[in-house]
This record gives sequence, C-alpha cells and structure tokens, in this order.
Amino acid sequence: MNQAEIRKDFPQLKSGLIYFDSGATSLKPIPVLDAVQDYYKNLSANVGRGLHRPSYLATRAYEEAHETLLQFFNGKGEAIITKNCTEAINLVAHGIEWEQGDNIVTTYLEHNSNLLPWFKLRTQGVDVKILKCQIDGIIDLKELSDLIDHKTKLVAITHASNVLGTIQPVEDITEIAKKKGAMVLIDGAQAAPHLKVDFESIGCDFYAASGHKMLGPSGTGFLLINNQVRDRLKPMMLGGGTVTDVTVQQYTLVDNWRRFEAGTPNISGGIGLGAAVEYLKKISMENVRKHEMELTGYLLDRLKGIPGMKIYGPEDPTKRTGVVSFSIKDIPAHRIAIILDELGGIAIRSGFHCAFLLTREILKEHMGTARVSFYIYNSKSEIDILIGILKEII
Amino acid sequence: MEYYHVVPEHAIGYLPGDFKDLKIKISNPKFCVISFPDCDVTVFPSGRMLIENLSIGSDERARTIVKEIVARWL
Repeated sequence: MNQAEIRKDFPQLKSGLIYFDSGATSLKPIPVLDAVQDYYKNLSANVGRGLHRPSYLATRAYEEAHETLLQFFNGKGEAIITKNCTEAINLVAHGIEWEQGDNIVTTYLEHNSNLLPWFKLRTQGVDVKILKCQIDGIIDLKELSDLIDHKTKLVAITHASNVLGTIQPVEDITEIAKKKGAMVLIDGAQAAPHLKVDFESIGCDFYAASGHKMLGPSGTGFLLINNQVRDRLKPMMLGGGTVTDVTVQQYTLVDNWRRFEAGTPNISGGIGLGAAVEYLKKISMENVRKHEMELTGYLLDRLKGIPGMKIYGPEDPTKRTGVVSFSIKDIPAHRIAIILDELGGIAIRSGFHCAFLLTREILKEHMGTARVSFYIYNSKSEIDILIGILKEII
Repeated sequence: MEYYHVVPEHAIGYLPGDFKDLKIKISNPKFCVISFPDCDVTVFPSGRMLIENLSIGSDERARTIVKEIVARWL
C-alpha cells in the first residue's frame, strides 16, 4: 500500500490536518468526490422514474452501487442503501413483526444506534436483555448463550466497538444465536471500513454499516439482508419507487431492495458509495487491516510511556481495529481534544462516543475518554506529533 | 454535564501574564486553565476557550464566564 500516493487522494490533508477521527466519519478520496460531482454535472436526473437518457444512466449507476456493495461483502441477498448505519438498524427494528413477550439480546458495548431502537420496542412489550462485557470489550460467549432463550427474536451486536476497537467473533455469535432460533443483526459501522467482512461466512441475517465511514459520502449507509429473512422484513417507509401497482384497496410491493428505499434516494451518495468500495477494492482490505494494525501497535506502545495514561481495549492489535480510547489522570478528555487541535491540528473525538453504557458503567469514565481512530491515510509520523503534544500537556 | 466551545471571530494572539483576580490552575506557554467555582476553562492565545463541565442548560452562565475572562484580557 503506497501511503504517499494514497494521501495525495485526500485533498483535506493538504492543510496539514492530522485526522484521527475516522470513527466518526472518514475523509473522502478524489475518486469519490469525482463520482459525486460527475452525477451532478452529467447525470443529474431521478432514478427509476424516466425513459430519458439521463435517468437511464443515473439509474444504472445507482443500481450498480448496490451490486458493488453486495459483491464486495460477499452477500447473496440484498443490499439496501440508507442514509447511515442508524437508519439501517432502524429498518430492522421497524421491519420485524414483534410480539409481546419477545426479547432482544444485545450488549453494554453498543453504540446508541444499536441500543435505542431496541429500547423503544419496550413500549410494545419487547424485553431487552443486555450482556455486560469485560473492560477490554470481550464478550463471554457462554454468558451470551445463556441469555438467549426461545423467546429471543433477535441478537443485535456490534462487530467492532467504537470505543475499544474490540473485534467480536461474529461468526461464533451468529452460530450460537441461530442454534436457538434467533435472527442476528451485526452493527458493522466500525468493522466494514477496516476489516474484510464476508456476509455469507458470518451467516447473520442483517449487516448494517456506515458508508460515510468507509470513504463514502455523508448521508450514506447500507443494510445487507440475507435471502432467508428478506420476506420477514417489512419496509419502514412506503412511497414512490416501492410498489409495482396501487389500487384504491391495495398496493403491491416491488420484490427487491427498492421496496426499502421509498422516495427519491440520495442518488449521488449511493453512486459515491459505489466509488468508495471500488477504491477500497484497489487497495485491498488485507492491506487496510495490515496498515491499521501497525499504526495501532505503534500508538499503544508510545502511549504507554506517558505518565497517568490509561489505555482501553485489548493490548493485542490483532484483536482490535484502529480505535484507541484513553484517559489521562487529572486531564479531562475534552481538554485533551481541544489542546491537540489547537496546538497540532490533530482531530480526535472526546466524550462518551454515543456509548454511555460502556464508557460510564464498564469503563467508569464519568467524563468520557479521548479517542483516536485511524484509517488508510494516517501514518506513524502523525502519531509522533500526537505523542509530542500529549507529553507537553502533562 | 455540558461543555461550551468558544471560538473568537478574530484571533487575539497572545495570553496575558495573568488574568488579575481569576485563579490560574494550570499555566503553560501555549495555554492556561482558569478555575471557577463551578467549572474550569482552558484558554488559548487565539482566544479560543473550552468551558468544561458546567451543568446542562448553562448558556447564561457560560456567557458570563466568557465576559469575565475577556474583560481581564483585552
């Protein structure tokens, strides 16, 4: 992976920005920016709604983005493009037919987006069982299995923690859940951009992720559905593009992903997301992973040398993504973040990271943590600058 | 708890030697931390500030703090 060449593709880096907040959203490379602009310059038309050439070309590009996603993640079912991972998860929450007495199993590790849609179902008499994890984010599979019973309709778990980086054994989790008759949703927001994800191998029913965290435009995410459950999921919204026929008495839904994308979609976003996937294909996810493991190992090593430092997540870089949360004794996380930005142009995140249960109740960090999250454009020299500034402020 | 991020329209460009009667908790060549009874404020030469850990809904209090600091600065 040629770092120098890759960095040239990210115009925002020219300002000297050190961007360590890809866990929130990633930077966008020129091919993605070009794809979005190309749509507006040359293909601006609605999709699936016209016989004219611009519409045909836009429709083809938008449809191809769905195919590209499905192939990239080795999916045999459908890919639905959403506005983010949160919407993808909500599609499932709203689409399953819940009954009083059903339960959902999830964990303390979850981002609010894979927690609150399930909490909301409590008003429908659905119970939410929440499994605690160890402080490094490892889930006990036996405890998970014990929590799943005959009334468990869904197990919803993060593939990789947005706070700790911990990678869960999603294939094993899926197997456990399936043996007990539960469907499985994996929140891949922090995994899909960074790991080779094989939807078929995992065997889960739903895989949700953020397009905008994997070099795609803002306002993009996606949901992969396997063929076994596609008919069990009802669309959250209905409207234009979702039906083949409407009469006064009834309507007939389209028999593919379009029934889940009501109205005019984020066409440029979807096309841009397809371009993002092509960009990652060229680099290869193996190289992405290798690069991030090197950076993570290097950062973990260098952080250890700082007095008062507390580092969260697995010590072994192979067991985590490039997400590293830490705190420094007597220095609030927000202060760390603003000092890094003001003194070094370094962008990190600070606070609870939309994961209150994990940060407050497992990590016991009541003021939150500082979080570095890497991607393909980051380097060891950037880490050295971060460490230099941290040493200045202790 | 809430934080307030204050960004000046025009950069100030220096940190004063002291902020008169305000209590300086941390003094660093590149920033300082002023301590108030209910919060700490990190201040940079640019005029950028972070008011840390006020209770939620403290907009008025945050504005008062900013005025107090700026009054002793300029």
